[in-house]
Amino acid sequence: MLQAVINGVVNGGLLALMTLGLSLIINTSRIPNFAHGGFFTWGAFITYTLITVYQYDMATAVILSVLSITAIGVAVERTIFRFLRGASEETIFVAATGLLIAFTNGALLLWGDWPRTIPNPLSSTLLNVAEGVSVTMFRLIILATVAATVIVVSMFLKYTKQGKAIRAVYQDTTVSRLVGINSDRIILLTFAIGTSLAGLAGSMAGLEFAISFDMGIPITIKAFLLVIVGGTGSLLGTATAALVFGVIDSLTITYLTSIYNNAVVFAAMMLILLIRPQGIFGREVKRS
Amino acid sequence: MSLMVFFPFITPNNYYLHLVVMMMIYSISAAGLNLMMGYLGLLPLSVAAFAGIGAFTSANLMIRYNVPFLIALLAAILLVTVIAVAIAVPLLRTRGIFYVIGTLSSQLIIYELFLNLVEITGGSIGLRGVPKPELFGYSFTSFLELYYFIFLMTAVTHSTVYLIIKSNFGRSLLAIKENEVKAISLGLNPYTHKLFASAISMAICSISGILLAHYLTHVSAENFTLLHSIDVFLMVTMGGAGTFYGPIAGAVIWTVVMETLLSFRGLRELLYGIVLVVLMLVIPKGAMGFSMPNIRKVLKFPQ
Repeated sequence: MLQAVINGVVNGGLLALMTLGLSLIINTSRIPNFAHGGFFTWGAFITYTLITVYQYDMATAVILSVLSITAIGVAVERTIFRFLRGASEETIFVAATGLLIAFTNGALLLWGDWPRTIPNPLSSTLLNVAEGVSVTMFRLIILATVAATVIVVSMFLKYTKQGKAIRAVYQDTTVSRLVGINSDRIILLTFAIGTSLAGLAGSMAGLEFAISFDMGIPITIKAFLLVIVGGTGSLLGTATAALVFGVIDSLTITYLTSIYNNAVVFAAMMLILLIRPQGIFGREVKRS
Repeated sequence: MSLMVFFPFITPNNYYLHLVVMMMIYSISAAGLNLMMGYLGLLPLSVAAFAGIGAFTSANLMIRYNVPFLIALLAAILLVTVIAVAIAVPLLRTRGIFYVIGTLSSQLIIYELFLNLVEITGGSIGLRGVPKPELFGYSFTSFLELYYFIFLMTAVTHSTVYLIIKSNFGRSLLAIKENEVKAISLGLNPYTHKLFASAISMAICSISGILLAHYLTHVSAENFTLLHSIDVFLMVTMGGAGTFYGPIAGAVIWTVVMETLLSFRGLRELLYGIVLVVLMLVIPKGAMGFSMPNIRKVLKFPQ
């Protein structure tokens, strides 16, 4: 039981990073960034290449890969999404889907279709938490990183000038322009933060689990669902929802069914939407 | 139209004939989805799931109980309508991207059921030996007969869609899409309209699944994945949502793009992704919404 909960919290933590980034992007720029999982996959593979080919140590590799993912994210926003600013949600969604397909298959071409693992001594060091319950050293590092990142991002949003500007655009793009906020720059900034979180999640996942070119697709779908279920207007809400999701998923696989586990979790989410259409932590938001 | 009738006599080989048949089957799905996308502004990503329910129902009825094709078709459409309404009742309370995600998860759940209800769907192997379609005891077995049969079914479906679009009901949907509050003040009930539209739209999509199963005589869960739902959505967007000819044009464009990319082998999927992005940058409103001012407006650097 405790073992399943711990595994669920680790998976949920990684998912929380993805969801946090996606939630920022969707709420601030209204870009349904279906390409989010592409950044996740590439984060994992760039870390893989840096460590196995260029022999960097783990921390440097993670930092370098997060930086390069941020650069790719900024480039994508400036070259594609900025030109689609006035287009309908569907149009942007198609473009983002195209990007996800391109990212996934780019990874397939560059790194091949077999699963890889990154050599990581910390992920084979086991710590005994209780009788028969153990956790790898690296999973604890993942949890610490996730917690630190969530705290840093929410502090940034709460106290810095840029963070306040992001929240203003988040609430009302037109009015924030009236008070002199350059919304294009703010959207670029959110895109940079969001994709760097995806890259970080990818690196962390790659260091602990096996990686493959198509790992980004299911996690994109889950993150999208969680942004909705967690509710707009609440970043901590979405992060909590991701953690809970991870635990439910893990418990379902261990105790209920390993065939229908996705069906159970998605059905639970639809049920939540039915009871609270605005999300668990969401407030009723009026939109024009 | 007449080109389609005489196409079998001018085409060099059966492969092109097969492509046109697939194009017609896809255009039915696209027309069904267009009813929701173009006329209500809702995007259900569960098209493939409902096509699959239709396909497996009619295939099972024909294989196990020797039911005539027409009755199997109607029974399958009826079942799809019932399930579509049952799922739409809660989901229609949400809107926009929320609705998209809700339908997306129903697609995933139904796909998982397809994979695991082995007695009905054959699991990952699928059902083999699905009977060819027949009408009143006459079975369509040769390729040419199948072509004309599917052409007939496609024409009937598209004509029905045309009538729905031009009817009072179709106009009411547009009114609701345009301004829900005003539509209510005109005495329309948006919720029931949306419910009816979901049922009709998914029923039409199921026809394409049923035709696919009986045309290929082999059908499996892999024919009805989320990616297929997204493909249909891409067709409607490429062709132009909210127009009668849009989905048909989209199905044609999509098939041509996919076939052209086949020659690139390994690069195909990567190029497909890039083509999607470029298409959306150049023709954001689809082929039927193609106009120069539009392109200028979108390509203009904002601010």
